Amino acid sequence: MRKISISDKIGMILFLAPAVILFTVFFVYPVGFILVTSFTEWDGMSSPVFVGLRNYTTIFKDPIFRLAIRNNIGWVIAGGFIQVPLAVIVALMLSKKPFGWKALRTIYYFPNVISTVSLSMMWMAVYNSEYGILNGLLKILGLGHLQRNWLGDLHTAFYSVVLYGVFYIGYFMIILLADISSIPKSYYEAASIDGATKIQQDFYITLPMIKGTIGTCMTVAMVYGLRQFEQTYVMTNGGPANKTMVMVLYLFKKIGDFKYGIADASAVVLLLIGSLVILTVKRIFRTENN
Amino acid sequence: MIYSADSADKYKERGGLKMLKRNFAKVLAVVMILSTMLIGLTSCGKSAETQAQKEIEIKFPSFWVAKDSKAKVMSELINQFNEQNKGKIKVVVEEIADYDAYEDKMKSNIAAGTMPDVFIFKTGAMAEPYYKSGKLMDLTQYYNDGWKNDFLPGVLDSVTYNGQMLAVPYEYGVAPALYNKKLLAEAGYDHFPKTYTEFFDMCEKMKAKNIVPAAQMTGANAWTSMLWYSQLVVAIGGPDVYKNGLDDPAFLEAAKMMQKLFKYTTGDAVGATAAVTAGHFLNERVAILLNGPWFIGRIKNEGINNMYDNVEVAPAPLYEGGKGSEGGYIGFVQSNIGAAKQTDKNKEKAVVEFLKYLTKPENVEKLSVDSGSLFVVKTNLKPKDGKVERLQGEMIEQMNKAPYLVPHFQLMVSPSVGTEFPQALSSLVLGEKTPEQFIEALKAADKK
Amino acid sequence: MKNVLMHKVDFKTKAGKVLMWIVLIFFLFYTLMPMVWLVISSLKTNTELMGSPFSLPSKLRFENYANAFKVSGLGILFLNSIIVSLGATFLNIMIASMASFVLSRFEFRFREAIFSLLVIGILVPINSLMVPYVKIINKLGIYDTRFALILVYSAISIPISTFIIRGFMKTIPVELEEAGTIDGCNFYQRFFKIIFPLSRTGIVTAATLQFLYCWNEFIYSMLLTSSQSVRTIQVGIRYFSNQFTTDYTSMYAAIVISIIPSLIGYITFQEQIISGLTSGAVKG
Repeated sequence: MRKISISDKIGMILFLAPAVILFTVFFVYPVGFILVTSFTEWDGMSSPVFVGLRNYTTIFKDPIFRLAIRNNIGWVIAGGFIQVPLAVIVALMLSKKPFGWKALRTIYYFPNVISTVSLSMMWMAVYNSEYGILNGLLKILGLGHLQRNWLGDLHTAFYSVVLYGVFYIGYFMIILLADISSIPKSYYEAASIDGATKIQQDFYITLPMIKGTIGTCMTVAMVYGLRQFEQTYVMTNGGPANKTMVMVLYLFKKIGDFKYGIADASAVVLLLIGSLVILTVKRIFRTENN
Repeated sequence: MIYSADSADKYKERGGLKMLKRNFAKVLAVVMILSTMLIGLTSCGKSAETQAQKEIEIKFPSFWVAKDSKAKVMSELINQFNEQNKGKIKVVVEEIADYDAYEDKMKSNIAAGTMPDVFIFKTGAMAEPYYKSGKLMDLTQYYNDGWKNDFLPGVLDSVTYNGQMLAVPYEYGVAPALYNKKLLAEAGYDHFPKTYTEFFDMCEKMKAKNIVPAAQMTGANAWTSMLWYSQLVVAIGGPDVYKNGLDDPAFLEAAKMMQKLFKYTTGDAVGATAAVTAGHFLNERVAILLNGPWFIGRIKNEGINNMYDNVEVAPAPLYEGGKGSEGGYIGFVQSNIGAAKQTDKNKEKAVVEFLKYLTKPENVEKLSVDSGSLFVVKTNLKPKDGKVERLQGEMIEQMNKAPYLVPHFQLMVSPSVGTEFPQALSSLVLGEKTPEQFIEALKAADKK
Repeated sequence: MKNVLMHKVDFKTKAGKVLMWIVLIFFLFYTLMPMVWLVISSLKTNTELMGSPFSLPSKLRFENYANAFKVSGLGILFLNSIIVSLGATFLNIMIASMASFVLSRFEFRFREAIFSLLVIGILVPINSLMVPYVKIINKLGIYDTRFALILVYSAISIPISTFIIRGFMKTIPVELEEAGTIDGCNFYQRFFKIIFPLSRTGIVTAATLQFLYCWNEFIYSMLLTSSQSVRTIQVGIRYFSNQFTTDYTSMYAAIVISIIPSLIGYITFQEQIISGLTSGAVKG
């Protein structure tokens, strides 16, 4: 291990200080606040009353919260194992610089610039059974029997909310493409002299080189899957029959019901589950370290 | 990595002190630049606040702004108030158009210990935490000063908690059936059905003609369908039905009726939001919509084929064998105005003066005429004196004739039950839950 | 023999190319659709929008744009968004890259612990932070200032920005930095002259995301300000959403107006950086 000089140490402290201070003020303190109130019954107006672990037993006994956890896992899988791999594939394709790749790179990012509300509104219209284009498309394709009220159907609502966003890969594709473009060209030149095809180059050079970034993207996608809120809130508000409920929406509704204690207990559970997910992904992609 | 004397020596040898100083200077410079920049930004946020110190400032976050129908007159009224009280009181309105954001902000502020001077909040069961908090100004003495005579009889009961009168009830809402008489005529009806038997007969006839009878929804707060349910519960169990809680058999019977109603609605009803149901009605894709006076403006401006001329208002049908009576109406205080307790007596007086100003009959009259909204303050408006818009006038007339006015379901049950209602309703109409299980789900939400 | 093989390879690459273009065109339509829909919808009436959301407007309703421009103080809201977004992006990226430098280029006790703690911050649900944030901002006495928004946005994104930037910094070969040390670069010079420029990719990525986050953020913009003079463009967009109704088409017009600057900024920014990148490949 390299020794760190004292001037470096001072630099390190100075460099870490702003992040640590802001983090303490805007994360450690608020999370502490949430943790404390999670042991109380609090309507946000009168004084909180200490109730021990009751909020935690309440939410774990609540089948709706358990369903929310399951759904969040669905979101995590969709983000980490469908969306990111798709982004990797597209990033690899664009890294070959096909015709118009710059324009494509920009356009693929468009949906991330539009607000979630308007994006969700459009998809609600797509899925609508009265005037939606999905049912229209199925009819044209001779699959009329599949037509349904997508967001109002017990079996399709959850998938409908989750899946449309999976194909909006711009966010991750940009990160991956940037990383791919920083791989020295010489690596590929050597490989093509050895007769490796483009696909082989992708597998043996590019993918290993961007493994760390893929891990980064997967972590971010999964964390967003756990924190998922706006899309569900706008499109289904957790319905029908709570089938699309997710943890943050659950806690949001509890705040609406003046149940801050329960809301904060669900936030704590979310943090715990999320930490587990992050640590697992980190372990899997550990080789990238050192 | 571990600090050692060795490295410290080296550091001295290298004349590190000088270097350190230089670095510090550099960092310091950056920090100073940053902080001056930030201070500069801070200061530009606060503008002319240094005006006459004696003026009492009342902060009033409001959602009656922007495109809200009351926005125009409300802002005129407040400007006028500020003009009249120049140098003494100044009401500063904080505009928050988006209702959800408004509620989030009010709740977060109150939870953080800073209740705004004057603000708007919900009524019924949703108002209870506010009353309980002990943070609201007690207005009892001011009401007893004669102010209470300005209000419609009985409404002040809704803001009385433990003997204290803690808010100003303000806007009133009714939720009758709005119907498109052209579509009813196509099915052979020239009036709105008086009973449910007749109503379902009409539904059958409409269905045969490919007309969708009524809009329903389970998305968001299930508004329109929640109003149908409220109406059914009272039609079956009578105006006192909520006294028995969810155990009253009327809730179960009404659930069964909801299943039936969902047979005569659009295919997208499960999961539909208020925007969807409004869209169906305004595009003549459904004939009936339960909604309040605030919807009239949209029928006027947005309904296709001059829809406004074809729309009429009616009380919901009578349930034969039920305890309700003909003409019963859903009616409720839509919003309360609350004020925070003040330590400064002068400020308290100023706040009360402003509240009294808002409820002055002539001011309310202006608001009502311009926006089409109803209020719980007595005014001289007569339904048919030409000032009042036609549909609004019909609503007032029917309301005045109604044997009873009962608030809607959401205001009568605990907030958790109101939140769970759309979910339970969608399971009910999708057949995932029986009516009995529907009631169980609501009861379970009550306990949580 | 050789000829046949060549032919096969050729066929394979051709099939691959066709497949690639099918995928790329699918994504092109898929990602373009919302933008096109948004623009078309912003030129309809609300009744048309709800009646047939995918048809063309019977008549182009430019009055929706007129409505959007009439939002009181639109110019100021815009200006505030620019100040807040740029300020918060600059502050956030400086803080996060400084922290990332320490957390990626040095080894010390608690390094992983500090990093893990930071990253877990990404998880904290915004909705449950509203009450403590109001408290903090009131305590700091900066309620209703642009600085409050800059500070909060900078802080909220520290975890995600650090996570992204550190990931990129870790891939810079040690030799490059050591060469710098030998050349007599001190801690700060190594950061500003070597590591910071070399991790441009990560920094730009994080900065783009941060800028767009700030541009689109609404909850705190509303929660932490009360005067129209310090609020951001998102508040202008919500101008059309009221208690009983939402004027969607005017709102969409406002959204279209609001995304134009961020789109232009994004395109030019991204373009400059990525083209600069290809010249100095550093991955090791």
